[in-house]
Amino acid sequence: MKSKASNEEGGSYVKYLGIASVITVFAFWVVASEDGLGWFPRIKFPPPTEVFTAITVLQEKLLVDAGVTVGRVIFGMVVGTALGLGVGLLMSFSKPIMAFLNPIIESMRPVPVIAMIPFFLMWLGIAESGKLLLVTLGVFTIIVVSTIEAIRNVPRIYVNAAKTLGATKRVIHWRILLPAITPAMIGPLRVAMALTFTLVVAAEFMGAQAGIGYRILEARRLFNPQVIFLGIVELGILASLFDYFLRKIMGYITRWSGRTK
Amino acid sequence: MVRSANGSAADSTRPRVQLKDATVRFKTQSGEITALHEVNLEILENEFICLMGPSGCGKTTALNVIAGFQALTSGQALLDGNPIEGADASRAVVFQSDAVFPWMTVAQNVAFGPTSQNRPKQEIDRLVKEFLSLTDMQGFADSWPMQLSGGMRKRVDIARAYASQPEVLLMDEPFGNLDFILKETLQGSLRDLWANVGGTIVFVTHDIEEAIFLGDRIVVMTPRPGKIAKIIPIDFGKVRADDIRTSPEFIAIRRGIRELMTETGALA
Ligand SMILES: Nc1ncnc2c1ncn2[C@@H]1O[C@H](COP(=O)(O)OP(=O)(O)OP(=O)(O)O)[C@@H](O)[C@H]1O
Ligand SMILES: [Mg+2]
Repeated sequence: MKSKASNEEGGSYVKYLGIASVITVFAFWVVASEDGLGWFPRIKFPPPTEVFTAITVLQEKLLVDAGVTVGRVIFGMVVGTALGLGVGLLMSFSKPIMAFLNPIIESMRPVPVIAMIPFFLMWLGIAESGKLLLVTLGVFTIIVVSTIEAIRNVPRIYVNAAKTLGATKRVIHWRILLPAITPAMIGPLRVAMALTFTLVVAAEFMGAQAGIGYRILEARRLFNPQVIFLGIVELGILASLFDYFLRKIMGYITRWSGRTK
Repeated sequence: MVRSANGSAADSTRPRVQLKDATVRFKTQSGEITALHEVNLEILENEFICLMGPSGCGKTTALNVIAGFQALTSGQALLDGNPIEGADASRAVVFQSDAVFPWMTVAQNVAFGPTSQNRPKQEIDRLVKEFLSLTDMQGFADSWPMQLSGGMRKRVDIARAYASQPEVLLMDEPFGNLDFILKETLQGSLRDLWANVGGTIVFVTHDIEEAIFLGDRIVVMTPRPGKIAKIIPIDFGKVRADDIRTSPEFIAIRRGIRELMTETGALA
C-alpha cells in the first residue's frame, strides 16, 4: 500500500499535471473574455474580474447559498447511502424481502429522478422535505442496486467461515458483508455524489428560497451573468472537494485492500 | 475443543462424529454423480484423523457433510449422537483457499470466533494472545492479511479456527498450495499445536506423506464413487519430530498405502 513504485510511473511531474490543467482552463477564461482578447461579449461570457466583483457584492449570501446546498447534498448522501446499504443488505439476506421489494425498486429505477420533481412539488410544494426526499431517493436507488450486486460478488467462503466460527446473521451483516463490499462501493458512491449535486441544483431551480441553484436562476432573471458564472464555479469547486473527501474517507476505510490510489 | 489446565487433553474413545451409510449424490446435466457411497466412519474425541484419497474421490464432500454445508442424500451424519444440521461454531473449518478476512487485522481475525460467541473480553484477549504465539504470529497482531505471505495467512487461519474452540476442527488441504519446506514447517507446528492443546481434527489431504506425518489414523478412500478402502492406524506417538519422515517405518507405511491405492485403482 505504501509502495509508490507501482503508482507513480512517469515520474514526479505527473502530480503537477492536475494543477496545469486548472491553470489552462483559467488562462482560457482570462484570454477569451473581455479581460483579455474579448472573443466573447461580457453578457454571455463574464470576465474573471466581474465574477470576482460579484463575490464582494454577494458576500454572505454566497456562504449561505453554499451552506444550504451543501446541507442538502450531505443529507441526501448520508441518508440515501444508509438506507440503500441497509435495504440492500436486508434484501440480500432474506428471500421474501427480496421477492417483495425487488419489483418495486426495479420499476422505479429506470425513471429519471428529475422527472419526479414536479410530482414532489405537487405534494410538498417548495418545502425543504421535497428537495431532501428527491436527493435521498436518487442516492438510494444507486446504492441499493450496487449493494445487492456487490454482495453477490462476496466470496461465499467468507460467509461460510463466519458461520463455522459462530457468527449470527447480524454479525455476518455487519462484520462480513458490509466491510467486504466497501471497495466495490467506492465507484457507486462517487457516482451518487455527482448525481446528488445535479439533483440538488435541479430541485433548487424548481423552487427554493436559497441555495446555489436558486441563486443561479435568480441571476438569470436579473440578468447577472457574472453571478451565474460564480455559481457554476462554486459548484465545481464544491463538487470536486466533496469527491476528494469521499475518496479520502473511502481510501481510509478500505486501507486493508491494497487497492491502488 | 476440550482443554484441560495444562493443555493436554485426556484421550478418550467416545465417538465425536459418526457417519452411517453416508451417501451423497449430485445431480448434474450429464446425470447423477455419486460423491460418497455408504461411508461408515467414527471419529473419536481428541483424535487427529486424516482423510486421504485421489482427487475427486469425495474428501471435500465428506468434510462439507461434517461441517454442515452439505446434506446427505441418504444415511446419517451425527455429532455427539445428534444429527448435523447446518454449520455452527461446534465445527470450525480451515478451507483450502484463503478464507482469512482481509478487512480485519490478524488479531481481529483470531478474535472473530470468540467475539461472535460473546465470550468475555479478557478471555478473548487471552485466546488471541495464546494462539498467535502458538502459531508464531505474535509479532503480526496488528498487520492486515494482505501484508502477510500465503503461509502466514494459513497460520492465521489455523489460529482463528483454534481460538474459536470448536468441538471438531475440519481442515481441507490447508497446505495444498504451499511449497514443501513451508508445508513441512506448518505440518510440524500443527502437530505440536494439537499435541499441546488437543482437540478432534479431521484433516483432508491427497498427500500421502502429510497424512502419515499428521494422522493418528488415516482413512484411505477409493476413487469415485468415494468409499473407504481402509483405515490405517499410525503409531508415531503424540509428539512427532521431523526425522520420522525418513524412518524405515514411515517409508514402509508409505509403500503400503501406495500399494493399497494401486489396488483400488487410484494409482496406475
Ligand atoms: N456441487 C457439486 N455439484 C456437482 N458435483 C459435485 C459437486 N461437488 C462435488 N461434486 C463432484 O463430487 C465428486 C467429489 O468431489 P469432492 O470435491 O468431494 O472431491 P475431493 O476428493 O475433495 O477432490 P480434490 O482432492 O480434487 O479436492 C467430484 O466428482 C465432483 O465433481
Ligand atoms: Mg477437495
